[in-house]
Amino acid sequence: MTPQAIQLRADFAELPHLAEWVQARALEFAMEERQLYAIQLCLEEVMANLVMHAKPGAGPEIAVTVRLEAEPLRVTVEDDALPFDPEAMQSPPAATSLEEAMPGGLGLALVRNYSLWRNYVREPGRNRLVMGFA
Amino acid sequence: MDITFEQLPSGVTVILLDGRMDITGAMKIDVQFTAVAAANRAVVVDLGKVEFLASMGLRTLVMAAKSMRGKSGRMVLYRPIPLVEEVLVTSGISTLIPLTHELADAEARALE
Repeated sequence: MTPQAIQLRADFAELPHLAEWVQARALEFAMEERQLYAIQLCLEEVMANLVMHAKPGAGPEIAVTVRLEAEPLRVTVEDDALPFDPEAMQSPPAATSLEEAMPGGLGLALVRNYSLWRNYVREPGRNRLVMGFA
Repeated sequence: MDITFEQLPSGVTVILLDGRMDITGAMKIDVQFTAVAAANRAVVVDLGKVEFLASMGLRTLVMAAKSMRGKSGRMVLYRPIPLVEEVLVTSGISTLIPLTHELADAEARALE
């Protein structure tokens, strides 16, 4: 199966377009409903993280490539921001009450739960994160 | 993402959410959702028509539930589809905000 790729800017405005792009390839990649959900969820969280935390000049000037491949089903996110390893970011401890709950920080924990494996490498001038899906 | 409200005879306010509660969806309803939650003591959030939920949507739910709790109010999550319920359980949010699939139960817990 031919890998499929899409170029995006690190911008919240790109996310609906990305979700639709994945949805449109669900049939070709024989994704089950939960796999489609997991991929859309992980891409949304990784992209949101890039928009909010990637340097320099977090925002639309960062170019992102998302690639979808099969056997095994996996998604690659490449960007030209400064070195940034989302795997190294700590998730806050789970809150036990609403009073102490801190909003935010849930995104990367969801990525760890919804992807089977993740592999981050820094290459010259770019970050590459590959996420595998069962 | 759309948001509508309904007042039940019990005094419970139902907030109906409809659509994808992704970043775009959450940003669209966040201000109105927070305002309605803050203005009511007992709120049931009907998630039955929410087809997708990610962390920004969780943030909207938690922030509103937190501010309600500060005023002795209660929020209950009602009838999410299985994929959305899985996000609520995996993130631990279902241990912070009660979740049920029965409307009578949701009303009773919101009025506790």
